[in-house]
Amino acid sequence: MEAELSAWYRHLQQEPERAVADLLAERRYFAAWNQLQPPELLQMLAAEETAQNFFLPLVDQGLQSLLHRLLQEQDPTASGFNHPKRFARLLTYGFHSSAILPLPQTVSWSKQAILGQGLRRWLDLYYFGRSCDPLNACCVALGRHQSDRQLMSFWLELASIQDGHAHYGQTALNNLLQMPDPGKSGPAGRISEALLIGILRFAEGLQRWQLGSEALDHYLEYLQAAYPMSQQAWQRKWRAAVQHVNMSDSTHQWVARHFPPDIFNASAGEDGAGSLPSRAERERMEKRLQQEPLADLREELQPFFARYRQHARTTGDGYHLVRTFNSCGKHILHSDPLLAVDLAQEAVTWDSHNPHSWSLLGRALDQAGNWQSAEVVFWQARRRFPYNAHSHSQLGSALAERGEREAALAVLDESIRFFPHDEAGYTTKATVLLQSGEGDAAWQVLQPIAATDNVKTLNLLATIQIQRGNLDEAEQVIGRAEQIAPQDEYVRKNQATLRHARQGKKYTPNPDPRPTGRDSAPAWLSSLTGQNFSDAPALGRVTAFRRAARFGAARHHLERVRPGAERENEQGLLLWNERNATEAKAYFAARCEHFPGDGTAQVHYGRACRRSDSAEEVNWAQLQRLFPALESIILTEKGGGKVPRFQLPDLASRLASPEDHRRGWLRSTCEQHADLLDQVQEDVIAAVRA
Amino acid sequence: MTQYPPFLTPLITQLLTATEIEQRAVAENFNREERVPGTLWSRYLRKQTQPVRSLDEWQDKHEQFLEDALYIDADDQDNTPWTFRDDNGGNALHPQVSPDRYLVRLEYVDFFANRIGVAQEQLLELLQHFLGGDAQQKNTARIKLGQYLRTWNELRDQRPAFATYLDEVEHILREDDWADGLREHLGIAGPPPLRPIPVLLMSYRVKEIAERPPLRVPTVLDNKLTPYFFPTPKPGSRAVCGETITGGHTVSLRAVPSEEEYLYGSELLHPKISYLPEHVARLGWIRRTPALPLAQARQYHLQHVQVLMDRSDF
Repeated sequence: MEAELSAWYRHLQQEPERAVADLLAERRYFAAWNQLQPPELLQMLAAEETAQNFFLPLVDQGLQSLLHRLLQEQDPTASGFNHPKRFARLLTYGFHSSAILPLPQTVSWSKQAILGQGLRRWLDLYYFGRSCDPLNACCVALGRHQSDRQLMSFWLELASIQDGHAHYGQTALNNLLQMPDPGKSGPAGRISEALLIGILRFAEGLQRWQLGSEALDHYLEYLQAAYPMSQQAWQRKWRAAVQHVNMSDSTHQWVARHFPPDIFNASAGEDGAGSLPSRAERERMEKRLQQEPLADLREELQPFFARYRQHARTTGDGYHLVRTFNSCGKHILHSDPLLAVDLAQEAVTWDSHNPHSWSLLGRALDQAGNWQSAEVVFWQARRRFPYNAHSHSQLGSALAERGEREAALAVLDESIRFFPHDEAGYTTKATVLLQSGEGDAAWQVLQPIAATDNVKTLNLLATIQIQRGNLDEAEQVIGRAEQIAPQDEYVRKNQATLRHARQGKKYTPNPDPRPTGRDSAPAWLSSLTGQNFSDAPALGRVTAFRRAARFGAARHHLERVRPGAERENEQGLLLWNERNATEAKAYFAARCEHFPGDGTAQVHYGRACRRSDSAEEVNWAQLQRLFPALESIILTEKGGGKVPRFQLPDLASRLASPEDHRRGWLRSTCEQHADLLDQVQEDVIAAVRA
Repeated sequence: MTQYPPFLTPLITQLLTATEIEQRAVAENFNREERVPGTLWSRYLRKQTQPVRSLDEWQDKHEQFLEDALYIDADDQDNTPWTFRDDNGGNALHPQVSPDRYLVRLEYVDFFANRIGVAQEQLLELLQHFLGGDAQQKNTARIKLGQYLRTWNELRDQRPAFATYLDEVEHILREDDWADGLREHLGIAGPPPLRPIPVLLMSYRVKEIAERPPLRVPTVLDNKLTPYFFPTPKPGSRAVCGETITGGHTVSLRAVPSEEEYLYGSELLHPKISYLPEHVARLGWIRRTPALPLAQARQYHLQHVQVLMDRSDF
């Protein structure tokens, strides 16, 4: 054995982590072995007889510990990795190695980290094209070592190409193909329904990003060659799969082009995934939940929910589960908030892009007395779904209930600016002001919607007028509300309050804020989307206070955010708002040099260049290629701040993706209020990574 | 005359007297290299402010250079590996190689399988069906192999590919142990195999790389640090080859009874090729350690190159 190898072996025994880092970073000269790339070098060394007992466990220990530490540190320069692309290659080689060698410790850590510790988003920062892509290497490794179906929903999401990179979709399909059958541990080696659903989602993704159908055609040709079956057998499988996916016309046409169109005429009972409750059954159960005590229904509820779970786990299609759990969860919020938490948690796990599930989860946690977690969920929902008015007003309302008046008002002011037609923003803000005795200000807030027919708004208006002592005006408003909803409980209450007021009794605001408690967020919270978003409240406050020009408060909260890309980029935006675009440009330029894979920093840099009339040329075409998920912002910047007319599906339909919603919101808001372009862009960029 | 950056001088001077050939050879290669254009030397180790102290440090800096200059992502259309840029035009082959001429290169099956996430045994079985199965097996394997190669093509960057001329190695390909023979002829580095290593012979015409692909003579800056490379001198006035440059010269590791019978091969660099199933010509196994020790091979090589290129001063 050459001297160089012997020296490295000694190093491995003494310091496994550093020795592995040196090898993967190609910082050591290995003489005759130097031509090999690190994974193949390790593979070659592993072929030694003694490798199983000595060499591989040390490599496993070193690699796992290295990855863990780097993820914790966030900034690789702290460990002496000053060249971002070489660092990305080190990570890529590390995951390649874990794919081809028996390194169970590393694989197990990677799986947990991708599900719950933000590994995915961190790896995103080091994307240098398909040839140097740590995330893809990590997914390949996880796919090869699957022993259960725990990653199924992750693969299905990856297959739908949310971020515009088709190759992740292909990796996801390969991994779905290798996923074990339910209850088994080895690779399935057969065409599962989950795979076919993945293919349909992949097709939808290709359509959405206009990536053509070539990759899809090739994949199908490959599957048919690899798993030869009769046309009838393929038909049966597709027939079962298409029942679980809502398809756009173009995907429908694609499926029909490859197979006779009668696959869309599914007959009952062909679904091998266990039958779902019928629509009538579901509606009946929801009605009973509203009318009967929960205790009477518990025995029926468990098998009812179990049928949705079985269907989702077998097919990978969580649509029915999410819809049903959300609607049933709402009805049991007060009677059994912990069960509502469970249902909402499952719904978010199956579809983390559904704002209704997040809303239910936040409310259920709050109702169950876990405000710390509820708060995290509310802030994260605001970050993930900036286009959803309810996510804003619900957060504002929750903060106000906890006595966080300033933060609540900052959130609600923004909600009103973004969604001037959504009454909830106005009414929640008016309620906050009313509760602090500012009746005149509350009345002022409601003026833009004073002509409303919404009974809740009218009730609030009446309450405010009573508080202000304008009893005749209050009576008039109560009369309008009574005409619209004569049986409404709050109309009656207001009538009673008015009578008391006429007798000289004073209006008393609501009681003191609800207690915030000291509980901590449960561990599962961070595994909902694969990243730790416990910083969401601090990050959200930084943004809200920064935009309200309360820079001291923004800085105070920024200190509470863990080191990492989010904190660094928010720091740049704070600099931008507090100073100017030129200083922000310099800040983001430095960040881009260290983290060229950070699309957020790259795009903010480009935005700052345009706004500071900078002479620097931004290579928008390259950014568009590297960061397709930020395409809507990039195209807007390329157009000098004019938002393009995106082709979008009906945003109310199930086919609309989060990206469609973001594009729709960017377009509609900035078309009417050009002055909101910066804030909407910031929110869209944040949502892509949230 | 040495051209490499002065920060390397102390280390190279020291390594030139090293007892280990694997260390000495790397220094010799940089010491002899005369084909790297000055514009490129000025980029090499450009951020260095202190002399390079060890071979490991040099390895680190060299990889950094390659990362910036050669390992360009396939989607990065704004950049080209320095090998194929205009300032390296002095290393272009002359005259141009016929577009119909066949080139060959070896690819490790392990490497292919690892990168696309397929088990090696699975890929080997597929290759065996593709190359030796019945008509139905071949057809099925072609489709699957096509999918695997597409994935691999997408994952490979633009680094230059080493190749040689098919017509120069046909005699080796007729041997039973052609994979070992070709590996030795091409001087492909590597340790003694601890197990048989499967390799693929890839074969394609020049025009399948691109319509008129740039082909270049390799230099020390086109590849990792390796003792198995030998730089090609510029020809002297009475060089056997005249003005014809058909490539660099491989350090042959084939067993020969004497120095006179030593025979190196040609090596050239071409841009990345997108492989098709049709390019997979053979599956073979590397089983043996190269017969000719590296030190002896390099000694023979030097003497032959000096004569061929009329460069006794090289």
